[in-house]
Amino acid sequence: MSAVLEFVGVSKWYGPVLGLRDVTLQVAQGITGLLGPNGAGKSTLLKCMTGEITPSRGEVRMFGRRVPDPEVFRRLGYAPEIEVFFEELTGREFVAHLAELSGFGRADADARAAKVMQRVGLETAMNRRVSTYSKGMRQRTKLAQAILHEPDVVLLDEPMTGLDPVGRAQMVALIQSLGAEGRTVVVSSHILDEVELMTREIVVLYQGQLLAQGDLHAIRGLIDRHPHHIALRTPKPRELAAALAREPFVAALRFEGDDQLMVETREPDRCYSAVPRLAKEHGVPLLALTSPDDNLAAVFRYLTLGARGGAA
Amino acid sequence: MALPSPDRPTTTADPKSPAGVVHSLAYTRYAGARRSPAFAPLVIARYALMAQLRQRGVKVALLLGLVSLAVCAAILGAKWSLPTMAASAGFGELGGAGQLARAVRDGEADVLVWALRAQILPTFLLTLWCGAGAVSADLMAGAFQFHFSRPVSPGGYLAGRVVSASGWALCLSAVTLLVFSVERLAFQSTPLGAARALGLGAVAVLLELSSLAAVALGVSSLTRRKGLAQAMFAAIAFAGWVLCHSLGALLGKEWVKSLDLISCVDGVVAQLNHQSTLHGGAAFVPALAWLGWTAGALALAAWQLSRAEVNRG
Repeated sequence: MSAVLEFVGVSKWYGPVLGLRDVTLQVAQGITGLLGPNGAGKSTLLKCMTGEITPSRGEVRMFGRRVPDPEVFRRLGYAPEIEVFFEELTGREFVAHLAELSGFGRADADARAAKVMQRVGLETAMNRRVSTYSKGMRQRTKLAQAILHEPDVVLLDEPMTGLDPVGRAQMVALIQSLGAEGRTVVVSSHILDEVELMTREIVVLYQGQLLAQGDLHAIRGLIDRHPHHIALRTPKPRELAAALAREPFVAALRFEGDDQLMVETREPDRCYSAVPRLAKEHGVPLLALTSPDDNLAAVFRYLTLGARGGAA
Repeated sequence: MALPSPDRPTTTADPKSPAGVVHSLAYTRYAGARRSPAFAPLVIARYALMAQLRQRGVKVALLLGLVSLAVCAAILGAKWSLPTMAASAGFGELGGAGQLARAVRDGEADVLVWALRAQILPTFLLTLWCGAGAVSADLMAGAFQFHFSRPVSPGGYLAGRVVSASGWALCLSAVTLLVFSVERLAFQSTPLGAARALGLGAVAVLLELSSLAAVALGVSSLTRRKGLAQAMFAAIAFAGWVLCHSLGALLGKEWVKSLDLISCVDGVVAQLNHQSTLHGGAAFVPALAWLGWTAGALALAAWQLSRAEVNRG
C-alpha cells in the first residue's frame, strides 16, 4: 500500500528550541497513532502536515504533493488541540463556516453541518452557542468540522482530552469508523491505551525525534524485556511478600513505606491474576494494585535507557 | 490537475448476479464543485460580523451610533433651516440669493464633516472592539489552525478581517451619510448637490474606516493579549492626536497637526471640501499620512501573520 503522507528529513526549530529533528517516516492508509509525552513534537508534526508550520529543513508530502498546497488542503481534515474557538457562533454555524472555507456553497455547507453534527452526536446541541459547550462537546465539534468535507486524510490532535469514559468509547468508535471507511487517520495522544483501542500502527516521538514506528505489539514486545513494576498497597506487606516470593514470575520485591510492596515481574499478566488470589489465600487485605510503569513515559524510559546502553 | 486517490475497498456489484451483491462501505470523496479560495475573505468577514453582533459591546456601540445620528440630524436640521428662512426673508448684509448660495455650499460641506463627527466615537469603539482584538483573539485561541489548514492564505484571512473590523462601523456611517444627504436634499440642496455630498462623504468614510481598521489589525497582530492590543490602538489614536497637535502648536507648523491617525483623515476631508489651510508641499501631508498609517499597518499585520507559527511556538 502506498504512503499517503511522507516526511523526508523534517526538522523544525523554534528559535533555539528543537521541535522536530530529522524525522523521516511514511504514513499509509488506515489509522495511525501518533504517540509521545507532552513536548515530544506531536503537534508540531501535525502542524507540518497542515501547512501551519513550515519545516526548517526537509519536506512534507501528501498524495505526492508538497505541503502546503491548496489542492491538498481540500482533502485534509484537521482537529487541533485547542479548546476555545468562535465562542459566539453556534456549533452548527462554526462547522458550516469552516465548510464554506473548504469551498462549499452556503446552503450546502449548512446542510452538511447539520448532518455531521448528527453523526458526532450533537444533534440536540448544534444550535447552541459554542460558549455553552462542555469540553467533550467541543471535541466532537472539532471532529465534526474535520470530517464534514469528506477528507481523505483526517488529523486529530489529542481528541480524547476532556472526554468522560462514555464519550471516549464513542470517540474511539467514531475514529474506528473513519478508518474502516478507508480514510487515512492520524491520531495523536500521549496515552498508549487509548491508541491501542483504535489501531496497531503507531509512530512514537520523543524529544522531537522518531523513536519507534510500526506495529504496537511488536514495540511492546521490545519493552517486555524489561521487568514490569506493580505496586501493591496492603496493611500486611511482609505477609504478602512472603507469599509472592515463592512464585516463579516474581523477579524482585521491594518494600516502599509501611504499606506498599513493589513487585518486579517479567510476566505481568500472570502476576496480575495471581496477586489477588494469593492475597485471599493468605488473608491479606489488598487495598490497591497499580502499575506505575504501565504508561508511555515508562515505555520511553525503557526505550531510551536501552538506546543509551546500546550506545555505551 | 486530478490528485491520485488513496486505495479504498472496491465495490463488487453486479445487479444481474443471482449470487448477490457486496456493497462497499468506503467513504465517497466529494467530487462536486468547490468555490474558489477567493471567496474566503467574504466568508471570514460574514461569520465574524455575525459573531460580533452577538457581543454586548458591539450592540451598545451601534445603539450609541443611532442616538448620535438622531441628535446630529436634529442639530443639522436646525442649522440648515435657519439660513434658509433668513435668506428667504432677505435679511443680512448679502442679498437673499447670495446668502442662500453660500448656505447651500456650506451645507453640503457639513454633510461630510458631520457624517464623520457624528460617528467618531461609535466608529472608534466598533473598530476597537471588532478590529483591535480580532487577530489577538485568534492568536490566543489558535484559530489559525482552523483557517490555514484549509485553502485560506494569510492575505485572504487579513482581507476578511479588514472587512469585519470595519463592517458594522461602515453600516453605521453609511446610514448616517444617507440620512444627512436626504435631509440636506429636503432643506436646500439640489439632487446633484446632495449626490455630490453623498459621494464625497462615502470617500471620506472609507478613508477613515480603512485607516482605523488597518491600524487596529496591525496592533492586534503584535500580541495575543486582546486587552493590550485594544489599549495600544486607543493610545495610538488619542496619544497620537495629543502629541501631533501639541507639537504642531509648539513648532507653529500646521501640517504637523495632520500627521496623527484621526487628523490625517480630517485633513483630507478639509481638502475635499476646499477648506484646507495647508498649501504647497504641506497640502500632501494628510494624504501621505493616511497612506503611511494604512499601508504600514497592513504590511505589519501581513508580516506578522506570515510568521504566526513562530508566535505560537
